[in-house]
Amino acid sequence: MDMAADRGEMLKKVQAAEFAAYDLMLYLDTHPNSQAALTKFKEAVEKGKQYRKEFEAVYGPLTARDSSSAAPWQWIQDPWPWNRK
Amino acid sequence: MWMYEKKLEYPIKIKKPDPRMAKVIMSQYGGPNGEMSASLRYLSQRFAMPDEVTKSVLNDIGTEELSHLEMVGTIVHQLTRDLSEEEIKAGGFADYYVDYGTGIFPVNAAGVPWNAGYINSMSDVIANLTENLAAEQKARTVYDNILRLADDPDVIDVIRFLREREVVHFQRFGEALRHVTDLKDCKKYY
Repeated sequence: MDMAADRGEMLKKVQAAEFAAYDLMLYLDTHPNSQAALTKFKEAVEKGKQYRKEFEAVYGPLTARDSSSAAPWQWIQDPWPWNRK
Repeated sequence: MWMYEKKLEYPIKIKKPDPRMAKVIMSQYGGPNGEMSASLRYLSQRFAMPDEVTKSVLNDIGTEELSHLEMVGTIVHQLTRDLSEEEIKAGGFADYYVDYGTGIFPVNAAGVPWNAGYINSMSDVIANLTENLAAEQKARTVYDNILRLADDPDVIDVIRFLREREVVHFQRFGEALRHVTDLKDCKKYY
């Protein structure tokens, strides 16, 4: 299996769920009483957490503080987001 | 404060170098209607926001603009990787290249460096939010212009995403402005 392509696919799931959560957050900023949006927001957040966990288990931390790192320090590992991989 | 997330807001994978498009897209990094202007405009204006709705809108859209700044830098970086001397000359990239190489420096497409005169931030919330409505439309127009010049599907896909976000931000700023003007007990604004 193409390791880089698979990384991209797994990351895309995180990006999709967390983008949905961010967009709903902006909506909630101007519609703080929308129960429907809040429910969708929570669903997106939960999805994002799950996908993030799956991604990090294989490809390492997405944040330095909240992700567990094996030694040596994994946070510095390539690829960084702007790299074409 | 901010903590870094080691991912882009939206995936970018550009396979083909294109210095000509890189120069044009750089305008959304360091040009008047670009993402640097957007992020610094909103994140500075938020200190003048009078209530919870307006503070959160400015804070959260300003934060998203930082991730767009990163995306535009990523596009330019990927479009200028592995360039040959010939490609630099033929792609009209020599005038940028001579000063910055293939590094990322905030300029507009014509090479004018970013400056704070591109933005405004004052204590008047109506003035700030009205500026932001125009800013989102101007940024959307620049992305439309970029789409007219682009032919690589890898580039077009990302630019479409960024263009769409301008539309959503315009909507949220409009709601914030209506919210503020409706605040009946806020005499200061009438």
